Amino acid sequence: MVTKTKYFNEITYEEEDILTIPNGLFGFEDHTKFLTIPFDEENDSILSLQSLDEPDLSFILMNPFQLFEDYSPKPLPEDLRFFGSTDESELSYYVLAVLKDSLGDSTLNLKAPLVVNAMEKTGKQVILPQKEYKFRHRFPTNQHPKEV
Amino acid sequence: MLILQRRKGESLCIGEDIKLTVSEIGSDWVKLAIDAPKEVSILRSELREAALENQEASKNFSSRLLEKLMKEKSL
Repeated sequence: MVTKTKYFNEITYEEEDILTIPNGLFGFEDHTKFLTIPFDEENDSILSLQSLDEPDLSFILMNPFQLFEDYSPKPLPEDLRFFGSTDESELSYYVLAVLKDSLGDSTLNLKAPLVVNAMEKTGKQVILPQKEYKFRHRFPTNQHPKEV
Repeated sequence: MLILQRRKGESLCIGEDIKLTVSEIGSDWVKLAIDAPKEVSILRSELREAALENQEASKNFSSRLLEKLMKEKSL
């Protein structure tokens, strides 16, 4: 199958590449089918969450654990229930980035990550109950990539 | 910002059509019963905030910044 994308022009994909987010994202509940496309084929740290329902809609996903070593999301039981009997440790977490013109003005949403079951290709955006995570966190200033 | 105190079972009227009742009180939670027309949207405020934040995340941004981020991550 072929689709137009926001950042990659037209791309070809298979049915099994589709990430299904049945509840959509907050404020975008009608968008339930996505592709996750890495910007750099060699690593998974920044991806485009490309809507298949609308070519011009794409979110920037980042791997929170690479940026914040201590990130330990604990979703509510009712959110974990969505993933059925999947072991919690098998779930992947991505955070949506709000990018502006400079890194200093950009933020990461640690409060409402996208939780993904990579095997089943299903996902849900959840709101974490933990008070230490906010909707807007500054990018860590890093001399070394792994340091917070 | 109006701050009112209500006891369990007591209510507030907001506008003509909305009534809010404190139905139960726990140690660190309150159960609220809300009577409102169905066209009035009632959301936990974090849902509204999450939607606004996603809206921001969907906007266009500087491609120069994207390049910079990709370079940093591949160190």
